[in-house]
Amino acid sequence: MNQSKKIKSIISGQVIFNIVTKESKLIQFENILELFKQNLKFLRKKTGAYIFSGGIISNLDLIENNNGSLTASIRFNKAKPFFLDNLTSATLSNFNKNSLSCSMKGNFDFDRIKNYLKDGSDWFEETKKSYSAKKRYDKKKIHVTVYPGMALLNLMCEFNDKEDTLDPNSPGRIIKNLSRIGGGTT
Amino acid sequence: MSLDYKQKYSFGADYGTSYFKFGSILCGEEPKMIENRGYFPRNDNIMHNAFGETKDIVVGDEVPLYLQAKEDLTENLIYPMKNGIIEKNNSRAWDVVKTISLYGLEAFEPTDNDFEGFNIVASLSSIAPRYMYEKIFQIYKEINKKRKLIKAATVISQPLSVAIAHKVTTCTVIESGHGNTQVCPISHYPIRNAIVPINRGGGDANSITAEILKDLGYSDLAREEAFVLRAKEKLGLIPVDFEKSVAKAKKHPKKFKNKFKIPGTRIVVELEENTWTRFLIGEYVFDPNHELFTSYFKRGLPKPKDIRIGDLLFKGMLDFGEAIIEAVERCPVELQPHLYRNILLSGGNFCWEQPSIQLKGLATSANSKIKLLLRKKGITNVNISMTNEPQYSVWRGTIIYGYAVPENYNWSWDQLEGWISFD
Ligand SMILES: Nc1ncnc2c1ncn2[C@@H]1O[C@H](COP(=O)(O)OP(=O)(O)O)[C@@H](O)[C@H]1O
Repeated sequence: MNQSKKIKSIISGQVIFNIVTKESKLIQFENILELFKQNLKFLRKKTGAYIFSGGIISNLDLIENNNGSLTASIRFNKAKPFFLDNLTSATLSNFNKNSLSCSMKGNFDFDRIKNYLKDGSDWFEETKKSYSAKKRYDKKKIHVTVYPGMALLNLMCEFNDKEDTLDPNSPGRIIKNLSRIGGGTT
Repeated sequence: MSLDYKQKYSFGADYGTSYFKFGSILCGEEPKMIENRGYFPRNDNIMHNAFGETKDIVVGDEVPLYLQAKEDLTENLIYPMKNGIIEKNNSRAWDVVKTISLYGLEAFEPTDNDFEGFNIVASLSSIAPRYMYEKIFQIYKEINKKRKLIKAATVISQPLSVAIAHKVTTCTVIESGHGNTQVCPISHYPIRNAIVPINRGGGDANSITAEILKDLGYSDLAREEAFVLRAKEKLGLIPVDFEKSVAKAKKHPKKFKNKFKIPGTRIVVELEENTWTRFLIGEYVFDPNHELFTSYFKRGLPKPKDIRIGDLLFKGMLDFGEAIIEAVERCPVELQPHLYRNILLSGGNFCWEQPSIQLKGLATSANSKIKLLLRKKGITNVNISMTNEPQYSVWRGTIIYGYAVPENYNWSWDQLEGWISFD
């Protein structure tokens, strides 16, 4: 199994969305979990984490805002791109928009990713340790920050539309594309 | 708005006994890790004056490049959190903490112009006295003087952070790192006077591994810390019943064979008829009291000592089962069953690989071992879980905590929670 070209990556991060509701936190918590269980293949629970096929939800929090609404924060780990897509379509089917912060760790060719991001970017900045770009990707505005020294790439993006669950605008597709540019096979 | 800000600029910093685990929320679920140490180079030699920029303290990946003669290592290479506690006026140790904190923050300093500083959640040992909290805040304030990297800060104890990462409010956390182990009952808050600290951790498992390697004829290698650590992780096995497992391995050494090669070298370590020693490593982590260990102590294995730090006694030889019982029994009686029913294992010293099926009944996992130790003492209604990726669970908790605590919740010295704002 020595395919030296193959770059292994670990995808993890956080999705947040707002919930306007009169229900209690506890009921909302159960509802969201149920929603995921219907849309993703649930395998088992493990010390506070929910293991699904294709990814782990390591934490689900509901945070109360001043105006009484709730913000759901879902942290995930060891995710496959399809898991990101399913997570997004599950939340979008019930809540109107979500914002994703997703990190991908792996020994990518970060120079190639840099060139790609720089090219046609709306904004680009670089320091000794990182670079960061805002750019349009098909219909999406993406914000990518890269720390080459730590083999880490972070993607931030908002999803709010049916189209966002489809190729090429879905989070899984965007991540896959960035990985491919960096020489990965995710 | 403020949640957006937090989603970009929350920052976790876990000050472990030997590793500093840090990173912004953008890291996802894995922090960056460097050794929690600083080197004070002697800036008086020619090489430095001629070629090097002189540095007062070196931290992070650069440390090995600066290391000078072996003799000055003990004096000039400082692990400030080695016991989880730093004395108030140990200025060199605090300087290291400041330097690694700055190193961590700078590594993730963003370029975006909405950045007004990180919301940093620092995590300290459960036995850290109040002045350490004050000192951390003071250090952050000093860091901000040069350039504003911190918007708000808070400190939580490592076991509480583990509980948060796993969403349990009533539990007993055993956090076992490199230098020591803390057993901490939690009921919404850490129950401070029930904490049992143990002066034994992964570092002690390294020491016995080094002795074993010496006996096998790898004396030179046994002096290399990095090599010993790998050997420990590859070879160590946790016995179900120490005596039975050792006896079995002495009789059928092949059943337990496991050779390993050191990457980048030609060296292969093979235990041959000594595969039984694999169980010494695992047993020693959980319970170093078997008489077989005495001969190692006699020959120079440093025995984990009882030490007193402040008003706390860290026992060296306490087995982990006994330690849990001691901690739980210091809590209210009604709470005790709940604390046994939710025991969480965290920290790198519990990272042991699941043994292979062939060794079933002989070698076991960390949580089963704790269960066995408790059962021996008559405690049976227990539930023990291993945290996911034990080495990172404290850091994960800091990120979740930082995200969930409202920004306008001000720091309280009574509760030890909330944010100190640097605006
Ligand atoms: N796979 C493993 N098997 C056995 N021990 C491990 C493994 N991974 C890490 N460790 C040990 O865990 C210890 C570090 O744990 P950690 O929780 O990071 O310590 P601290 O936070 O106190 O610095 C080291 O002694 C290391 O050898």
